Order: sequence, then structure tokens, then C-alpha cells
Amino acid sequence: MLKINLLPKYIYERRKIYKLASIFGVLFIAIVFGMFAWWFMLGNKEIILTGQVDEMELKTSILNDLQKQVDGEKAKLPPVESKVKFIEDLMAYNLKVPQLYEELAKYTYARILYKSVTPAGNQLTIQAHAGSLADCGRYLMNMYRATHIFNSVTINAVPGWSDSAGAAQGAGQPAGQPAAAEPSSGFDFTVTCALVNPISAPAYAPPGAGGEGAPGEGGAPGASPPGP
Amino acid sequence: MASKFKVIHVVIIGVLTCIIAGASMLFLMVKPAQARLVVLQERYDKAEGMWQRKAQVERELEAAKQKNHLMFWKLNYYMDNKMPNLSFVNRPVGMVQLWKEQSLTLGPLLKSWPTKTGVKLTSTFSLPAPPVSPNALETSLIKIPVGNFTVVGDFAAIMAHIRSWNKFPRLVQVDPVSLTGESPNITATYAVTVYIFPKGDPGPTIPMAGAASAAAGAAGPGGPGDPGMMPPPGAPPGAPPGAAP
Repeated sequence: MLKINLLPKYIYERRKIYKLASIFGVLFIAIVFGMFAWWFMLGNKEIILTGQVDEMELKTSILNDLQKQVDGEKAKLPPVESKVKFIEDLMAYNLKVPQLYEELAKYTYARILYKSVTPAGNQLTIQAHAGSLADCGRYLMNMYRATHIFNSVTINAVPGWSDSAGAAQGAGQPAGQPAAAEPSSGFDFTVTCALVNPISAPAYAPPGAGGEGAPGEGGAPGASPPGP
Repeated sequence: MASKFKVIHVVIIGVLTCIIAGASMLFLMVKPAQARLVVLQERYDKAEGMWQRKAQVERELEAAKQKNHLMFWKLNYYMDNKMPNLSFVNRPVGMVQLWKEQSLTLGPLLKSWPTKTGVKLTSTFSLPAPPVSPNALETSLIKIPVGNFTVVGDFAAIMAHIRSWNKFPRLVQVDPVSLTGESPNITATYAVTVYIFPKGDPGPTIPMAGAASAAAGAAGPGGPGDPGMMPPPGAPPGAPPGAAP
């Protein structure tokens, strides 16, 4: 049996259009719904995260207060520390010379007599008397071992020899030196020592002042001191 | 009746409508929300990073407090044991305290110290006069040069004496000691300087006391040219108040 479709084509066209329109309508609704759902989900996440951020930032404000306390405590320190440091450095400075002299005594040969000991900056100058050249030599060799006190130890001279009896003058006498005592009664000499640790007084530097502190004199200028 | 729309029209319109709707909602709603989330997350990460330092900051605070406590204790100890009760909060009062210290107290203390510490003082010394203007005070550190001391004793006594200056009831600088002579009569010579830290912060200057350059050694009170000091009415110029002309 032969089937002949006598219906016009535009009838089927309409059905196709309706089907396509409904499919696209559903797709449109799905897209809109999906976007709204996504946006809603992001909004929820934003609310939760905002709460967490507020909580965390409250904690960091506490931390900032703590940090300000640290800075405040540290700022109190410099004026106090500078005074304490100056006092302690000065008291340590006062002890340096007795320590130096006591160390010097340990390295001084017993048969050497000191006439004067004068410190000045990074040098120590000693006027001494030796009974003999051997004593002077032993003394010098002792002093050379004091490497923790002195960088260098030098003496000015030892007496020479002269054939004129009773007088130690003429050739052999060190130039510029007064007449040395006869070797039999000893001779004077000068020792110059360079200190490993120069002795220098501390200076007070208040915080914020540039360079060296310049403490004010307690005396008024031009004033005469009170009588005894 | 044939429709004007064909299938291809519907497809084109449908696809365009879906794309436009999807794109506009994406860029107008979803993207801004995502950008806000990114910003919030950065803020959170930054705050959390800072919060991780809490333990360290607490340790720093504790250490700073302990160091401060120690330094303040030391300073208080030195101020109580090495400094006179001297404060320039009230400048005129402080100035008078300094006069008493420098002109009355310090001299006898210094003079008696060598004998107390086992040596004999063979030199004399004097202290300079204190300032007479409250505006001319040195408010941070007062330095009083005493001059040279010469003491006599044996070596051990002299060394003990030099060390004992750290126990003197004032802060003293003992400059390097020169020794001459033979034990037990060694002569030691050294310079002494006294330092005083006033307590507290200095108060304001006193306008009535004139400029800070007005100091002792200039003319006395009522003297000619003395800034701020006017002779009383009726008194001849240059005479102190109440003095007979």
C-alpha cells in the first residue's frame, strides 16, 4: 500500500520550531538558575569569610597593641642604659691602673728599683735603677714575656765603658744622656712600654645627643674657689 | 499559514539569548562576588600571618620588661649610693642643693677618704664654686674637677686606695696614677673628677633669674648691667639692696 503524505510541509515546520523553542527555553531557565545558584553560593561563602576576617583582624589589633607595648618598653631603655653604662665604664676605668701596676709588679725583676712610673694614654714610662747590666738584662727579658700587657718594651740605653777612672764620660756614653752611675753602683735607665689596652676615660653620651657627651662644669667661669 | 520563523532562526535566537543571559549574569554577578572573595581571603591570610607572630611578640615584650627592670634597678642603686639628693625639677631649689653639695659636703668627704683607706694625703685641693644662676645649671651630667691628689703609702696600700674610690659615696673618675719613690713611702699622684647625675627631669627656666649667661664672676646682685636685677628704688646704682651708700 502506498502511503502518500498530502499534509503541507509548513505544519511539520511549526512543530519543529515549537520543540526547538521549548528546548531553548528550558536551557535559558537552566542557565539563569545555575548562575543564580552559583552567585548565591558565593554570597554565602563571602558572609562566612567576612566573619573570619573580622575575628582575625580583631586578634591582630590585640597584637598591634602588644607590639606598641614592646616599642614603648624599648624606648624607655636608652636614657637609663646610657647612664648605667657610663657609671659602670667609669668604675671599670678606675680599676685599670691598679690592675696594670699589679701585673707589672709580677714581671718586674726583684733587683730592679723603680724610681717613677707614669702612664700616659697608651704608654707607660718607667724610670728605673739597675744594680748591674745582668740585672737590667734579666729585667728586660722578663718584661718581654708580658705580651698580654705590652705591645713593645724599649729601654733608652745602658752605660758604655770609659778608661778614665771614676768618671763615666766620653766615648761610649749614650748621646744626650746624663752621666750614668759607675757600673759597680748600678745605673739609671728609662723604660717605655706600649700598652696592649690603652687607658682612656669613658665619655657620657646621652641618647639623642650627637657625638661625645660634654658634661657641664660644676664651677662657674671666673669664680674664685672658696677658701680652705 | 506558514510561520515567518524558520528552524535556523529559532536556533540562532535561542543560542544568542542563552549566551547573553549567561555572560551577563557571569560578569555582572558572579565575577564581582569572586573578586570580593579574593580580597577577603588576602586580608585573612595577612591577618593570620601577623597572628602567627604573637608568641614571638610576647617573648619580646617579656624580654624588654626584664631588661628594663634590671636597668632601672641598677640605675636606682647607683643613684641611691653614688649620687647626692639633687634635683633640678625646681631649679632654684636644686641650685641651692648643688651649692650645699659642692661647697659644704663634697670637700670634707674627699679630704677624709685617703686616710680612711690607708694612705696619707699630702696635697691640698679645692673645689670650684657652683653656678649661681638656676638657668645656667648643667641638667644632664655635672662634672666637678677636683684637681690632683698626692698620697703616700706602700705599694699595696696605694693600690687598695685607688681601688677604694669605687666605694666612695660619689661617682669619681681617678685618672691614671703616677708613682714615684720607693716603698713603703711611694708617692702616688692622680687627678680626681666628680660626676653627678641630677634626679628627674629639669624644670622650666626662671625668667626672673635672667639669661643663662648671667653667672658668678660677673657683678654681684644689683650690679650694673646685671640683666633682670634692678636696684631698689632710692638705692644708688651698683649697691646691694639695703647696703649703706
